[in-house]
Amino acid sequence: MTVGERFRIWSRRWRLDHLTTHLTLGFFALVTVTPYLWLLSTSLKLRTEVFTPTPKWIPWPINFGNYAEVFDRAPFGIFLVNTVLVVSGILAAQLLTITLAAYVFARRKFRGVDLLFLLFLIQMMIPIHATFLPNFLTLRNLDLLNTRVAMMLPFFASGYGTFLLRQAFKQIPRDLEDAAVIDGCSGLRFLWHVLIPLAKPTLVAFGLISLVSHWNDYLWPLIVTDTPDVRTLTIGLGMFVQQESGADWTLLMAATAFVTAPLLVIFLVFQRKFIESFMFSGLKGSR
Amino acid sequence: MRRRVIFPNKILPYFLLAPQLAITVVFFFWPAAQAIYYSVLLQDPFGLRTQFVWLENFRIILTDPLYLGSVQVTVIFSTAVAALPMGVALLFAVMADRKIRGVHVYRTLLMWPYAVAPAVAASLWLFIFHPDIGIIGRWLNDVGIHWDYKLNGNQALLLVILAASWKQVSYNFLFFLAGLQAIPRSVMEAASMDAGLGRTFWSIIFPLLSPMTFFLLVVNVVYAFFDTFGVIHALTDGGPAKATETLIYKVYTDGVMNLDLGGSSAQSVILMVVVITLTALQFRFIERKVHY
Repeated sequence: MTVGERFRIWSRRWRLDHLTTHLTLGFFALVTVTPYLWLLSTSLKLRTEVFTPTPKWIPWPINFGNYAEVFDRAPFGIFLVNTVLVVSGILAAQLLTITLAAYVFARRKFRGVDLLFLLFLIQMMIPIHATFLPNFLTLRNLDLLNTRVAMMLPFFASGYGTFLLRQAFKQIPRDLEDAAVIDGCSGLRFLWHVLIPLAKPTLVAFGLISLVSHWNDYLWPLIVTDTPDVRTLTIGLGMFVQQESGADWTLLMAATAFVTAPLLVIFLVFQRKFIESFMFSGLKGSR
Repeated sequence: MRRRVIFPNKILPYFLLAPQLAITVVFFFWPAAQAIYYSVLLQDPFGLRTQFVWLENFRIILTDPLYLGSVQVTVIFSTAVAALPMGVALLFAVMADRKIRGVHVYRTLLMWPYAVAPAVAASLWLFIFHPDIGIIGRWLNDVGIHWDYKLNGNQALLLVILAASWKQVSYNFLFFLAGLQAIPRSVMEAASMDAGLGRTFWSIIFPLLSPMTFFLLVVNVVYAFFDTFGVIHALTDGGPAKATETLIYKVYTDGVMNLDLGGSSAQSVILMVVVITLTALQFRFIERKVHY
C-alpha cells in the first residue's frame, strides 16, 4: 500500500474533508459570536477593568452593578414595556387584517377583486421607509405624534402578509370547503376552524418576521417620538451610543446586552422556526 | 332548507377588506401621492405661501452639491454593503457545502446577527473601533495609522460599511448555502472530474447560483438603502461633514429635522422610484422562482 493510498483511507476514516468544513464554519461562527461574548464580558466588569493591556475575557469579580446603573441612567424598563406593547400591538392587528383580507382574496369572488388585489401588490412594492416623510406629516396632522399608536398605526396592514397567507389559503383544496359547507361550516366559521389551523406555519413564519423587524425598527420610532416615556429599546440604545463620549463602556455594554437579550431568548426558543421562516419568506429581506 | 340572505354575503368581502384597505390607503397611497404633490410645490421662507413650481424642486436638489454628495456616499455605501457580505458569504458557503453533522448548530450561531438591531450592531462596532478604548481602534493607532472616525470622513464611512455588512453576512451565507445544496451532486461531481476547482466554480457553480446572487444583490441594496439608517444614526449621525449621509439620511435631516418639505419630498419621490424599480426586479425573480 502506497503512502498516498494509506493517506486517502486515513482521511476518509477521519472525515478529513468534513474537518475543513467544520473548521471553516467554526471559524465563521466564532467571528460572529465573539463580539457578543466580549460585550457580555465587558458588561460584567468594573469600570477600571476595561482598559487592561491584554484583553481580559473572564470578568472577576463579576459585577452586576452595571445593569442596575443602566436603569438609573435611562428608563430601559419603560423602553422594554413600550417595545413589547408596540411589537405585540402591531402583530395582533396584522394577524387580524391579513387573515381577513387573505381569506377574501383566496376564497371569495366579488366585483373589483382584481383591482383591489393589485393595490395590495403595489403596496408590497413600496417600503414604508420610502414614504416616511408624508406619513410623519399625516400623523402630525392627526395629532398622534409622540404616542405608541403612532409607532404602530402604519404597520397595521401588511400587503406582504396578505400575499403570503393568500397563497397558503389557496393551496387548501376546494373539496375541503365543499365538505365543510355540507356539514354546515361555512364562511367565517370555515375560516376559523379549517383555514387558519391549516395555514398555521405561514402565520408563524410571518409573525416571527414581523416580530424581529419591528423589534429592531429604528427610523420610524425615532421620527414619531421625542420623549423617553414612549420610546422603544433600539432608540434608547441609539441615544446611549450617541452620548458615549463619557466613556461609560461597561454601562453601554450592559445596555446593549439588555436590548439584545429578549430577542436572543425568543430566537433560541424558536430557532428552527426562525431559520425556516427566514429562508421561506426571506424573499422579502427584512420587512 | 332555510334560504340564506344574499345581501350580507355581497358586502361581506368588502367589509372584511375594509381595515386592511383603510390602512393601506392612508399610509401608503396617500403618502405616495402627497410626496409627489409636495415635490412640485415651493414654500416661501415664512411658510405663508406655497407656489406650484413644476419640477423646480427636482432641479434644485439635482444641482445641489450636498445632494450629489449624498448620492455619491449612497452609491459607495450600498455597493460595498451589497458586495462585501456576498463575497465573504459565497466564499464560506462554497467551503462549507457538505452534509455534515451539527450543521444546525452553525446555522443558529450564524443566523443570529441577522436578528440583531442596527443599534446593537452600532454599539458593538463602536466598542471595537473606538480610537481610545476599542481593541482594534487602539491597535490601529499603536501601529501608526491615525484612526479617528469622528474626524476622518473616509474612516467613518468604512466603519458604517463594516458594521452594516457584518450584520448581513450570515443572511447571505445561509441563502448561498441553500442554493449550493440545491445543485445536484452529480453535476458537481461530473464537473470536478474534468476541471479544477476554480474552473468548476466559475463555469458550473457560479452560473447556477446566479439567480440567487441576483436576489441577494437586490435584498442587500434595499437593506443598504433603508435598514442601515439605525447603524448610521447611532454611529456617526451622518457625519463627520456629511461623509456618511446616505439618501435616506438626508431625507431625514432635511424633512424631519429642518422641515424643508418641497426639497425632501422631491428626494422622497426619487427614493421611491429607485426602490420600486429594485423591488420590481426582485418580484420578477420571485415570480420565476415560484412558478418555474
